[in-house]
Amino acid sequence: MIFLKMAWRNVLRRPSRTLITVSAIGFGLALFVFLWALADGFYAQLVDNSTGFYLGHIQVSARGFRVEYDPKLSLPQPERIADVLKSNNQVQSFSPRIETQAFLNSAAKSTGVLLTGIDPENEARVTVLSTAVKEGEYLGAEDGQSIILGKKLAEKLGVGVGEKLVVTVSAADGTLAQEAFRVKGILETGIESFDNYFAFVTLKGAQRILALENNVTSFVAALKDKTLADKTSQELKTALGQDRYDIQTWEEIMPILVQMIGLFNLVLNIILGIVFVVIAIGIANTIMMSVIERTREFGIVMAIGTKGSQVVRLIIFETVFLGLFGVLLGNAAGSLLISIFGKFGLNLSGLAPSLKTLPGAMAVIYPKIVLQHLVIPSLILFAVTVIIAFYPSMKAARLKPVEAIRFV
Amino acid sequence: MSSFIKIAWRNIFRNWRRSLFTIAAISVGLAALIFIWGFMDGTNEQMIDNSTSYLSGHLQIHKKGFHKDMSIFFALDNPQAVLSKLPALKEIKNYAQRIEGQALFSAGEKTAGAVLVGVEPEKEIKVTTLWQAVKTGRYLEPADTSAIVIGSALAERLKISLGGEVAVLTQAADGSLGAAKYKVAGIYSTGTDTFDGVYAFITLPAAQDLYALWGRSTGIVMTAQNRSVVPRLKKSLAGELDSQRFEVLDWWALIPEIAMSFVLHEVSASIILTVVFLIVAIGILNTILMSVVERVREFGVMMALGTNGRQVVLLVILESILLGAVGILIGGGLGVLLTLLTGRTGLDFSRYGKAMEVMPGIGAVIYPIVRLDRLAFLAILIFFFAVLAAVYPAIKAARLKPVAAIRHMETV
Repeated sequence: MIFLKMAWRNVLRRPSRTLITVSAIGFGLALFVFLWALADGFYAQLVDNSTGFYLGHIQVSARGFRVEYDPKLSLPQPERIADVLKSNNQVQSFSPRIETQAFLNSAAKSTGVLLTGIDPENEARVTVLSTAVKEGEYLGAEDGQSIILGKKLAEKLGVGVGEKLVVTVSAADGTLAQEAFRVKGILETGIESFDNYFAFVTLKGAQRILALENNVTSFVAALKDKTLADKTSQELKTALGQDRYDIQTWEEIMPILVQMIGLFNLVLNIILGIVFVVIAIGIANTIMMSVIERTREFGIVMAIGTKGSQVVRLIIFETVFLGLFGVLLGNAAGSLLISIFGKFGLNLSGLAPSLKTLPGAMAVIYPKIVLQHLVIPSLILFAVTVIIAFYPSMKAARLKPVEAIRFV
Repeated sequence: MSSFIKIAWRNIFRNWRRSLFTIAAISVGLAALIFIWGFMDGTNEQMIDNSTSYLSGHLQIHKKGFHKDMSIFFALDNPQAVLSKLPALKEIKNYAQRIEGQALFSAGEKTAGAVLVGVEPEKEIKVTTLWQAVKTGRYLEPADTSAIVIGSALAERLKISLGGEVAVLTQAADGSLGAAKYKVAGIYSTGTDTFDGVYAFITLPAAQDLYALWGRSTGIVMTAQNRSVVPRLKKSLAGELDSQRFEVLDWWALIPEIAMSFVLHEVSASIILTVVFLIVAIGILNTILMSVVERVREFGVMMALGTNGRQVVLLVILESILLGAVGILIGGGLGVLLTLLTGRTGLDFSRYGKAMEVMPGIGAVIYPIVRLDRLAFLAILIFFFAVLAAVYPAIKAARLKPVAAIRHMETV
C-alpha cells in the first residue's frame, strides 16, 4: 500500500493545491445543503402553521359530518374513540371538540362563523391555539359563558375584550338556540381565513347551547411524527371501522397544501439540479487542472519505473482523500451555517418591509437539518469527484516519460 | 503594454485546456444564474399579468373613498368629465367604465352575497380577459338588458344553471331598494374561488337602472401600453384629476395579495440567487487560483529572464480579463439560449394544477423570460469577480524567488 502512503504525502506536500480542491468541494457542498435546509425549513413552517393552530394531524368525526357540520351527527361512542387514540403509540395527544356553524351578533353587526367548542387544557396539548391569543386571555376549563375569536372577526363585529356577543346556532334537537357570551380573548394568527372566521367556546358551553349533553362532534390528534399520518390513519380506520367514522389526515383535509409543497419542491429540484452541475464543474476544473499541471512530476515517477495503472491508482487515492476532506468540510460548514440561521432565523421582512404582514408568521424562515439532505448530496458529490479524477489520471498514465519531463 | 496583451493572449492559446476549464467555470455559472433568474422573473410576470388581466386592470379611477367601502354612494358624479381627459394620455391602451356594488343574489330558496359589476361589454373585453373564462353559455353583449354572467362557484351555491333566473337585491344610489331579475346567459370559471364565487356581471345600462345611477358609473378601469409605464401614467392621471375628489389606484393597491406574493417571490429569488452566485464564485475562484498556483515554474522562468513582479501581476490579470470576457460571452449566449428555448415551449407544471390555482394568477405552464437588466447585472458581476479572483494569486506569484520557483521548491 505504498501508493496510499504516497497519495497521502502528495496531499500534504502541496497544501495550496489541496486547499483549493478541498474548498471547491467543501464550500460548494455547504451552500448546497444550506439551500436545501432553507427550503425544508420553509415547508415545515408552512405545514406547522396550517396544522398547528387548528387542524392537527388527524381528525375523527362521524361519517358525513364534515359536509354540513350538522350537530345531529355527533360522534357515536366517543369513549371508545378516546381509548383507541390513547392506545395508538403514534398519537402524541388528542382532544375532543364540537364544531358547528353559528351566527354571531354584536350590537352593530352579525356574521357567520365556525364555532368550535374545545377542552381548553387538552386542546393546548394538541394545537398552539392558546399562543394565538393576542389580547385578553385564553379560555379556562370553567368558562361556560366566554368566547374567544379571531381579530378580523372581532373588528368586523366591532367588539373588544369584555364585551358581549349573542351566539345563534341550530341545536341538535332542531331548535334555534341563542345565548350571550362574553369576549375573553382575541386571536391573531396572521392567517386570513382563520382570523376572519373562527370563534371558540368551551366544550361545556358548546354542549349546553347545542343541547348535545355529553357528546362531541370530533376528535383532533397530534402525532409524534406528522409524516406517519397516513399509516396512523390506516391503523385508526382498522381499529374503529370505517362505516361510521371519517378519519382524515391533514394531507386529506388540505390537499392543496400538499400540492403546493410538491410544486415548490419541483422548482427547488430544478434549481438544485442546476446548482449541483455548477458545483461538479467547479470540482472537475480544479481536479483536471491539478493533474494536468503535474505532467512533469508524473513523467519522473514513470521514468523511475512506476506503471501507468499505478499512476491511475495514485491519483484516485489522492482524490479519495481530497473528496473525504471536502465532504467533511462541507458538512461541517453547512451544518454550522444551518444552525446559525436556524437559531436566529432568516428574516425576510428585513429584506422587504412589506412582508411583515405575511400570513402565518412566514416572514422569518428557520432552515432545518434533514439528515438525508446532508447524506445524499455528500455521497453523490464524493462519487462524482472520484469519477472525475479517472479521466485525467488515465491521460497521465499514457504519458511518455521523456516528453512529460520536458513539459513546462 | 501591448506586448503583455499579446503574451496573455498566447498563454491562453498555448494552454488551451487550462483556458477551457476557466471559461467553462465562468460560462456555466453565468448561464445557470441567467436561467434561474429568468425562470423566477417569468413566474412573476405571469402572475401579475394574469391577475391584472382578469379584473383589476392596471389602474382604476374612482371617486375618493370608493375603494375602501365599495359603496354605491361613492359613484363618480360626472364620469364624462374624467373620460374626456383619457384619450390625450398616450400611455393608456384601453379603458372602460364600470359600476361595482355589493348585492344579495337569490334563486329559489338559496341566497348568497356577491359583487355585481356593470360593464360595457365591447370595451370591457379589450381591458380584461374574464370573458375568455366563460365555459358555458356566452359573455354579455351591449344590447343585453336582463342577461347576467356569473361564476361557477356562485352558480353552485345558488343551485342555478344556464337560463335560470336570479333575483338581485341591493341598495340604490337614491336610497331606495334596487331589485331586478336576470337570466343566466353565461357561467365562467377561472379555477380561482376568489373570482368564481364573488363576481357577477351585467351590462352597464342594466346596472345604471338597478343602482339608480343613470349616466353615471363607479369607476374607470384601464390597461397601460405595458406595465412599466404604470407609475408614470398614475402620476399624469393624478396631475389631471383633483386629488380631493378622485382616487387613482394602481394594480399594486387594487390586488395587494398579488403585490405581496410578488415581493415574496423577489425576496426568495434574491436569497436563492445569492447562494447560487456564491457557489459559482467559488468555482471560478478555485479554477483561477489553481491555474496560477500550478504555473510557479513558468513564472520563475519569466522572472529569471527579467520580467519584474508588477509585470507578472499585469500578465495574470490580463489573462483573467481575456478569459473572463470569453466566458461571459459564451455563458451569456448559453444562458439566453436556454431561457429563450424554455421560454418558447414553456415548462409544464400541469401535474400540480390544484396548487397552481392556489397561487393566484399562475398558469400551469411557466415561460422563463430574458431581462436585459438582469443579464447585464450578472455578466458584469461575474466578470469583475473573475478578474478580482486573479489579483490575489497574481500578487503572490509576483513575490516568487526565480531560482526556487524554477526548481519548483516554492509554492504560491
